[in-house]
Amino acid sequence: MNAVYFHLGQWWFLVRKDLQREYRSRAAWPSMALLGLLMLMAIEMQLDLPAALSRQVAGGMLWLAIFFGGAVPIERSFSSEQADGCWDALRMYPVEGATLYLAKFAFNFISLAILSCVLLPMYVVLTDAPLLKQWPATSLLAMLTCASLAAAGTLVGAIANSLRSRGNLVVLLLLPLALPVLLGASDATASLLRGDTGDMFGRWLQLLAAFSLINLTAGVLLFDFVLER
Amino acid sequence: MEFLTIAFGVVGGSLALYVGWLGVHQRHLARQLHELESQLDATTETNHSHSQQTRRAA
Amino acid sequence: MELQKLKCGRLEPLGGILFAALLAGVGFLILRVAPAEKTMGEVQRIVYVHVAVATFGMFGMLLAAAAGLALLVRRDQGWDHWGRAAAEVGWLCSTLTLITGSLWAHEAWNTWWTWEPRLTSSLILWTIYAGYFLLRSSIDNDRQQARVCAILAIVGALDIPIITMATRWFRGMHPVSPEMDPTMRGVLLASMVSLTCFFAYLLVRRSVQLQMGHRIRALRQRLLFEQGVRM
Repeated sequence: MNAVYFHLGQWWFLVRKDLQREYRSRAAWPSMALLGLLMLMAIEMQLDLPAALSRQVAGGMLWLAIFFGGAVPIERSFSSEQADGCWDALRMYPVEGATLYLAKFAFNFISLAILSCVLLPMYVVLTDAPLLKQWPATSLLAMLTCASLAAAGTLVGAIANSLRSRGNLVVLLLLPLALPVLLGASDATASLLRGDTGDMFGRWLQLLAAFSLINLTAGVLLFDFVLER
Repeated sequence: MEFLTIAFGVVGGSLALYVGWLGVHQRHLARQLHELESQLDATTETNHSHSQQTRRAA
Repeated sequence: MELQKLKCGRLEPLGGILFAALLAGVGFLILRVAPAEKTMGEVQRIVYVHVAVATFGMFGMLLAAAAGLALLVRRDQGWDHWGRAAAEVGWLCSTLTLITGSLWAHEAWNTWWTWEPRLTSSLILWTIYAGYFLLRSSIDNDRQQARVCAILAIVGALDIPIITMATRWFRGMHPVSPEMDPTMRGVLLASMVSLTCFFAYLLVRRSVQLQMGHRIRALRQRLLFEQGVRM
């Protein structure tokens, strides 16, 4: 039991450190929110469709905007450690890879959740979609999607961070892996907008949960190998 | 029918290209390996006699 | 591995002849023995190759992941050659899957591309392969390249069942595999088995080459060292 508390304490310390750093530097969240908003705006502007049609199509666009906006904090959460040898210092502490992974996952999940809190109302305003009326289902879907993206994104972000030429590799590596998540989220949103939260919606939620569980497990088991030098 | 020809052509052609490249590359690698080995043998030989000479001189 | 084994000297032409004969036999089976399909006609024969290529396209990623797992667990650099070779052959097969599938779809459905589940999933798989090779080319250090690519291959392989399900449920299409004439089924089986053997052969050949390349780099370094000793 003590060991659990010990790891939990470490985990919370790391999460708090990341949140504090973000609060002080404001390096990732503003650009994330702006990029998400701009993407959503640009897409909706082009897709000035009649409401019925737009509801079918636009669900996917929302998640695409969240994906691209979310790539900013995912990339940032690792690259910020690179400055002043923070990463090496962190590795000197007796922190296990799994704890570090879960802490970074938590930070990325929080970032993505904040981004969805910004973009979802914006989306509702732009498309008149009745998503907020079904807020329990919507927020469950958003949570699971954010968890899936964060679980895969944290692992891929760490991989991309260990390279010299980081560039936009996070997006390039993450997008193929996260495509089923985006497919699922957009189809689930479409069925939510049609007003049926039945069989298909539940199945998509299960798929998203399975994806995040698989990727979380893989991350916990493999993160030590990512960190090796 | 022509689509069948195209498909088989593409598959057969690209596989043939890959196999051909594999063959050429294999020969290239084998030659390089052979050269390096003989070069290395010669160098170790010289080094060996060299060190013996120095020892004798000493 | 022993160097003599790496060169695999005399067996090489024999394997080439064997597989040339095998592939010619399969070609004969597909073009002459299998009956023409009633509605689609001759074009349906693409399927015999397409299914085999598609299977190995997915199999390549699984093999790369298995090699990656072995590399990480056993800490043996040699597995990287297997993983890379599997990914290369898998990517080749995946590309061929997309091309043959598209050609078939043009005749069968009168369109080059639809977001049909199996097409979508093979396209996603292709992009994962592309990311894998992009990652490979952006790392110089051998050990790091092997380790990081192993991780990506494992994550990619874990993604395959999810991709399969997601694409199947997307927009609610549920295709079923059609009933087949027994001769057709036999030809399909024969083509799948022999093409899989052929791809496995390519994989082994490629992995031997990668091992040779590794050995050459090591020898070069030793040569530099020995020359340095003399000077």
